[in-house]
Amino acid sequence: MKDLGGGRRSAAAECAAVAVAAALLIAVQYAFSWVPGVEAVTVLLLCFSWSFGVRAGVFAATAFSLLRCFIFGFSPSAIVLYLVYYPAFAATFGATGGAWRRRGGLSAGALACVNAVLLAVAAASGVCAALGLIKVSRLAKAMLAALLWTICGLCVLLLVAVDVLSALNARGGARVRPFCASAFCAAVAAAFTVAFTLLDDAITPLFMGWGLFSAASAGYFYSSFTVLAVQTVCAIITVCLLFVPLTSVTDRFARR
Amino acid sequence: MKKMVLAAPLALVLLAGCFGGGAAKYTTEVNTEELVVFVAEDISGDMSWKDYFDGLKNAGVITYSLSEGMLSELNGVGNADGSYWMLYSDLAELDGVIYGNAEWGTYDYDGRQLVSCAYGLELMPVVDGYAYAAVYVTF
Repeated sequence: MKDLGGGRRSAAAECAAVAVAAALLIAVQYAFSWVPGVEAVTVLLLCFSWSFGVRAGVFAATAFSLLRCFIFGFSPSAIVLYLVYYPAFAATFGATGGAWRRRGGLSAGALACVNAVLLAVAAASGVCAALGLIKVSRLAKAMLAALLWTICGLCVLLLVAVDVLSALNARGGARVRPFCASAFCAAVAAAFTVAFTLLDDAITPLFMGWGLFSAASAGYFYSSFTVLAVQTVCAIITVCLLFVPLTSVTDRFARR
Repeated sequence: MKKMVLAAPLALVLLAGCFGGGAAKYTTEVNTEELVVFVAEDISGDMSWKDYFDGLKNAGVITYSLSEGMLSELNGVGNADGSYWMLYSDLAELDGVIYGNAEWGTYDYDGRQLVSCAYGLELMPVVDGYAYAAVYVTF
């Protein structure tokens, strides 16, 4: 992609990149819509935003959020949810990618935040699984507990990975840098995925007029955990596995 | 509601097959192209609505199919633009778990008020004495 100097890309090149990204996001969402609970939008948008920056990421996220309605339908609460969540997601990873390239790794503050988030998600998952706090269908209880323990375990593994890889990276281990970024992004993506469902648990009851603290909203909240758990596991695994190969491609196009 | 129905995770569905089961007396009270109603009787073990429908299907009483976790076709009638199969039951809450709520929608059947279900066929339990209705609704 042509650089106009000072890291700026031409508007036409950026438009083309955004258009391709939005098309790919819709395509992968459509492709995986046949495999419920599994999605690749998170890792794709993350890698695009990481390489192309905040502005291109937010444009792609907004275009995707609006254009997907032509396939998946115009649901007002879903449109609001997507227009809040995905641009915020893209902005976060666009800014983080830029900061990462400038610093060559994680700042102490970012590392502390990631540690806190991972510990919080791991602890919440473990406590909910151990005490059976999530009141889901009795047919889903054992499965949800297994998924929550999986999230807890993955978060602990990510915590160790982020800390060890950050330490190695800080000592000049450039070869571990992409894997350090991968573990960091997987951790943040997991937190975002949890936030997506919780945001939906707030937006949908408001749109439907149930009130935030009604029995209807509580039922919606609890039953959404079966979805949340699978999507969080999916986000962690896909980002861990695909971040390095995908960013090697998106970085190449972003720096052309 | 849409999210819950559309995104019923495949892993859960697959695992549900491992945990589901049980036996029942498979009968329907109403069985038409727009409405299938049964009242659960003689249920043993943990049985899902899907298990019950499988029993009815094996007995040649109904035909049905699922798509993306949703009931997509029942007795030869499929979902179409603006018309969908919706699930209702008077099992609204059991053991502190919410299985349905009137604010999501209701269907009156034989003097009972059935409420829209929180779960799809795979995760909705079938419990003795409760009524279950699949209704073809046009919005």
